[in-house]
Amino acid sequence: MNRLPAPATSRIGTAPLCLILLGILAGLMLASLTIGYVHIPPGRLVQAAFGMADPATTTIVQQLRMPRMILAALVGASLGGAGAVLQGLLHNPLAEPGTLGITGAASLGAVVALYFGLAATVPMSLPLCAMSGAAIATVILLVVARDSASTLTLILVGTGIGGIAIALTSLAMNLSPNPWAVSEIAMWLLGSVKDRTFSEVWLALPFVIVGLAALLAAAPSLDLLSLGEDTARSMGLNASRLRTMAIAGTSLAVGAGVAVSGSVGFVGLMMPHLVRPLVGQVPSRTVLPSIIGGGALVLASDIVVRLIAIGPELQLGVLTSLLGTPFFLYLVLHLRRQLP
Amino acid sequence: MPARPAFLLCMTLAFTMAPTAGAANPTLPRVASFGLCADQMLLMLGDSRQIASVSAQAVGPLSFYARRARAFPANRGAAEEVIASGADILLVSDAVDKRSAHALAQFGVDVVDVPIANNWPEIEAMTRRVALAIGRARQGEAVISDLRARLARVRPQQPRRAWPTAIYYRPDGGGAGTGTFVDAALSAAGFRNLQAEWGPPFWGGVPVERIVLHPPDVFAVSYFDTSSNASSVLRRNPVLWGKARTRPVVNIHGKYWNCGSPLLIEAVEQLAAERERLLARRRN
Repeated sequence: MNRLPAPATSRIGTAPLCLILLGILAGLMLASLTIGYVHIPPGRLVQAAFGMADPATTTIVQQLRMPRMILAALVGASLGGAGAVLQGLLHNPLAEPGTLGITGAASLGAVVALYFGLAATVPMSLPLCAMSGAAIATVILLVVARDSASTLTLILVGTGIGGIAIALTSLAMNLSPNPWAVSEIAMWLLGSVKDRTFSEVWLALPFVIVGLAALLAAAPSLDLLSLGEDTARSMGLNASRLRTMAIAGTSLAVGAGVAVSGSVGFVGLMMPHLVRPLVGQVPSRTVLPSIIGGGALVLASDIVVRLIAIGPELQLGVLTSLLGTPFFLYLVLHLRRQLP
Repeated sequence: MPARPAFLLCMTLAFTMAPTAGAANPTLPRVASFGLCADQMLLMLGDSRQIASVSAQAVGPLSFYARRARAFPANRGAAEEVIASGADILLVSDAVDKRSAHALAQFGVDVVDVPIANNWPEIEAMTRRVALAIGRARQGEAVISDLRARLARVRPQQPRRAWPTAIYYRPDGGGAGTGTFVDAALSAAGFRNLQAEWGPPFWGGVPVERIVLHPPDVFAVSYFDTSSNASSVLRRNPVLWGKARTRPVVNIHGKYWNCGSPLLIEAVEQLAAERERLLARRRN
């Protein structure tokens, strides 16, 4: 796996870091179960988790808080993992799932379901339309990745897909018959895992698992790619296979995440940068910690939105964007200083 | 039997003092509501003992029943709260994210949609359906017959072409054409809604150009009480404001036409009074 020597900047091994992050994730998962709109004392909570409390409490803990916890972790893990792989693949520190237009295309699919009223009559049509949106974007990206040798083309095509998705989403909002439909679409776009059930978990889980597996499988080749595309190819890297794995992995994991939660911004951008100072500049080493850390970050955000106990619940994407945008600015300014 | 009045009093006290106890009246289902329109219908039709919770907006400035709503727990639109409150039925507005309602339907809560009703037959049908669902059919019929009586009282005597004209504006520049409850209210009060004649239908706005050519007799505005007057489209656009200043501007309180519901009659009566004043001025 480790084809390159660890650079001097590495302060902590990947394995210990992953263990620490797993510990944090586990702690947050437990915390997530204890927090909600109804106070449940710890004793009753444990009983309810094992189905031994009264039916109402058991339903709340088993059927509402557990799926919410699982989905927050899955969505975050997908975004973190995809961000880490894409930043390595595209040689771009600002790359994230949105860069390839996958988030936008999935959102557009969901907006189509909301706009045409499918979501109101058949609730499952919303995630399915979102996944179809992600699948269409993926097919376009894969064709480009196979035919074109350049990473830059991939970024530009991704930006184009994202632009079209935003344009059509805006069109749907513009054509909405009444102000209430606009607000429904806008709120959905801001992302949330509120009141999801296991039906959504079972829908997203297989795609997320396969997607994360593809991302992890793509990770080792990223190190070769960091030597430059030509050098990597001369050392035997199959660049188009790597791109296919990374794009397919991102689409499956992130597309499924967006389908059930809406778009949660900036996690994919932030997580690899938070991990990198700890594991060093080797791209493959950022992937697993970003997956676990991403899960923890979204879970923590989802706990915070529930802790703010006044007014309507903040949408998850609002909170992650509030955290993410200052970080993004810092990143841009910091990178500029590093340039010669 | 002197003990009887005291017994009745005790019973009354027992009922009124246990407003949230689930066992207070076994025949009425417990009901929670998500969203302003659903809150209004529950507060209009529901018995105090059956209301499990209402949205936070129910006590806000756009709620007609803000005072009554204070007596009940407020929810933040989460499924957990509805389950914990033991509600059997959830009333949910059109504008609310349907995920929570969908989740609740899976756990055996009866979800009743409160759609935006855009004409009088729709309003009556919606009222009847909600009333029936929450076990208050008689209250529903009472509301409907009151609505019909009050509508009949303000029904304009003149033929339609003699009605004064009106244009409706929201602070965001949107208006109301055909197929909206605002249009239904304007017609019921004896105003010709110019947007219904010119288009666009539904909630788009009339271009200022047309207003300059054919200014209406009155401007009807709403939701200006909950948004800054200075930034509203009437003030922002000097051409529009120039016209509006020469015409009566009827400000309908947002709580009267927050949804297409029987509450709309309050807006109709206010508009009808304005029309009478206008016609009286014309006669003099």
